[in-house]
Amino acid sequence: MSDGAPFRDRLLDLLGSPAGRARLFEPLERVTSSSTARDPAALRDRFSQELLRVGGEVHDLTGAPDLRGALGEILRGLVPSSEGTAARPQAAFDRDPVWEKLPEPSALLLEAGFDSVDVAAGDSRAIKKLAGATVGITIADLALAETGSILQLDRPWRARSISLLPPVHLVIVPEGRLLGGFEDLFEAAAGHLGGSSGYMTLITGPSRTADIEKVLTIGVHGPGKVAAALVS
Amino acid sequence: MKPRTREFHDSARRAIENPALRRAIATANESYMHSRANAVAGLPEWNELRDRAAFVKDEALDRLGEHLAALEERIEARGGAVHWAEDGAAACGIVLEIARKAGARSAVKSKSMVTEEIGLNAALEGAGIDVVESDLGEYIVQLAGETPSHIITPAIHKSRGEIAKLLHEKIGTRAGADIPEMTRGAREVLREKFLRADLGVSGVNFAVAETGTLVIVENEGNARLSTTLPRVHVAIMGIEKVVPRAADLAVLLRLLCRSATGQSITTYVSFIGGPRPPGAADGPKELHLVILDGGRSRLWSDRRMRSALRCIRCGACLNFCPVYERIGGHAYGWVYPGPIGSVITPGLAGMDEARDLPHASSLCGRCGEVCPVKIPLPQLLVANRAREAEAGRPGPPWSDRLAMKLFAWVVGSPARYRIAAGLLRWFLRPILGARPAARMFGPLRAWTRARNLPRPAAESFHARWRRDPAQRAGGKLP
Repeated sequence: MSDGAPFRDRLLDLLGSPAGRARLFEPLERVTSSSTARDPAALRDRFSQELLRVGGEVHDLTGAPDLRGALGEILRGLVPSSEGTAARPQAAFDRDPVWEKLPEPSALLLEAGFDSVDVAAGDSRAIKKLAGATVGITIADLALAETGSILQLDRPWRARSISLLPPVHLVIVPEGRLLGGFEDLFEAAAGHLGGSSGYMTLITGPSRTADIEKVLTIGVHGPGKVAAALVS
Repeated sequence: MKPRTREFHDSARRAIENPALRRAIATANESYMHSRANAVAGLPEWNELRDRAAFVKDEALDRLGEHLAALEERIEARGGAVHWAEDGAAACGIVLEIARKAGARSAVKSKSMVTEEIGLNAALEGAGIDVVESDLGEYIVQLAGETPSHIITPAIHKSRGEIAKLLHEKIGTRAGADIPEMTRGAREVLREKFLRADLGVSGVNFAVAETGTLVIVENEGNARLSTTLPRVHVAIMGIEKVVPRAADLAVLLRLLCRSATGQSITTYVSFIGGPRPPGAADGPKELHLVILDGGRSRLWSDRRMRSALRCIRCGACLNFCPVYERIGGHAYGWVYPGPIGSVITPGLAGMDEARDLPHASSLCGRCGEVCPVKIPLPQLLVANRAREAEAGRPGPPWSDRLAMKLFAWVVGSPARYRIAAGLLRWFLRPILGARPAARMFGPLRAWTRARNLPRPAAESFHARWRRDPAQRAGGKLP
């Protein structure tokens, strides 16, 4: 260990507790929560309601016959075409294996009028590329009905800043990944949190602030537009 | 940050005499109270959650050494470095050494009260490192050369007009810009700083011992940027931030966000376990965790005060405090204002520095009622006062003591109270006339220096209560 080692030992000595007590981290019973929806329709409803409440967009595509067309339409709605500019907006997408069951992303983007930005695993220019992109498209690892949040774990196929640097974030939420309340979320993510990376981020709607006179303002440092597309 | 708590009386008086400040804080507090009430109403299990939160924070504190050691072990297992600092100077020294080894020339900071406490900005600037606050409120306060006046909304003491003028002068946004325009202007300037910064500095809201996870809660995205883009991330936390299990976050996050801003959850919650894993596209290459004592072990060792270390820095006790509402955060003279500040500042900064603070309370009890982790704030304020008395420090002047004795005697019996109130009404009504008095003379001058003396009502509350059973039944008086 580095700096302050003698102080560390003195401090832990002072704060130390008598030996022979119960093991640390014995699980506690859950506090009875009012967010206990379980069936898929109720989870979808609560998720949508909560995300809308914080200024996000929700599109239920679980029964959509033309997923590709629907996603393209959402994208065009998120980024209104700016007349007269030659450059097409750039969109980056992650490489979640789930894409194999969805419309091919680069073809979809081309059709919707975007240039696709490729951020491969370990791409040393990821930040630079993402800083220039207009849209970041990701797949949610888990989603939380209680708050309308989506969870992104550290994955080899996704840069952390894809949901952060572009001003628009489109997140695709496979219906089966919806959970009810925080208790379910931390139970599901416990293994990841204790694992080799331990990084994850919970995102709920667009970036916001109320730092000036407590007036709510959307889109400070993170994306000002967040849209979720629920798919089966 | 150097405490200015000795000047409390003067700074409080100046604050009370500043009507613009009082208006700004009253408006903000009203909005805070309203949004918190809405958020709490949506959660029937609120009090059960508070009990659980108090329980798990106490659990962490009771075996604090073991929990901290577990946290250290897990962060180090992922390649993170853990540093221990006895005081603010040691913590700053550690951060400077990290910056020097990394060859860092610029730093971005996300909002963190503990870095205010240790005076990190001054230390970094002294070493020639360009440091910028990235939370909008903190950025405004930094540009103005001031310090935060509230734990959650640092620039709450400034009006939008003042801020527009400041940003116009400092970063060239339009004079008279509206709030979205100012926000966009700050975003553009800060985005450039984020992309260039070598060092990202953050605080920590919760540190989970079981999994070795640092949890950072925020709305703007600046904490995510600070902990994702720069190649080195330094997180700084007090020893009291540790909690036992990840599952405890289900309770703590619900309480923190609702108590702080009335949200069910903030926009972003980052969970950080170490530096970026091999092969990752982004994330810091180095993660350093600085664990600060800074007087906390002194509070911990004092069984009467230990529960103050449960604090999760939500700011609810400020927003509900009638004293804070009238004097604002700066008057308290150090980093942590309001009731929680008056409880922990004497312990962290030393009682000699802060002996007036425990008296900056009417003991109305609202702080204790709203505290999400059930810190018995009024009792702790009284305990700090008692300690002063036990140490034989001079109490209030004889005139105050006499007045309080007289008051206690008067309110000690209903008959005496009614007679005294009747006499005052009979005496004051003719003197004061129809309007409240803005200025009194003699011993009453102190009263009217910053407030009006209202004319007493013609009929006492008691008389009205007896006279009108209808109003009594409704529990309402006009």
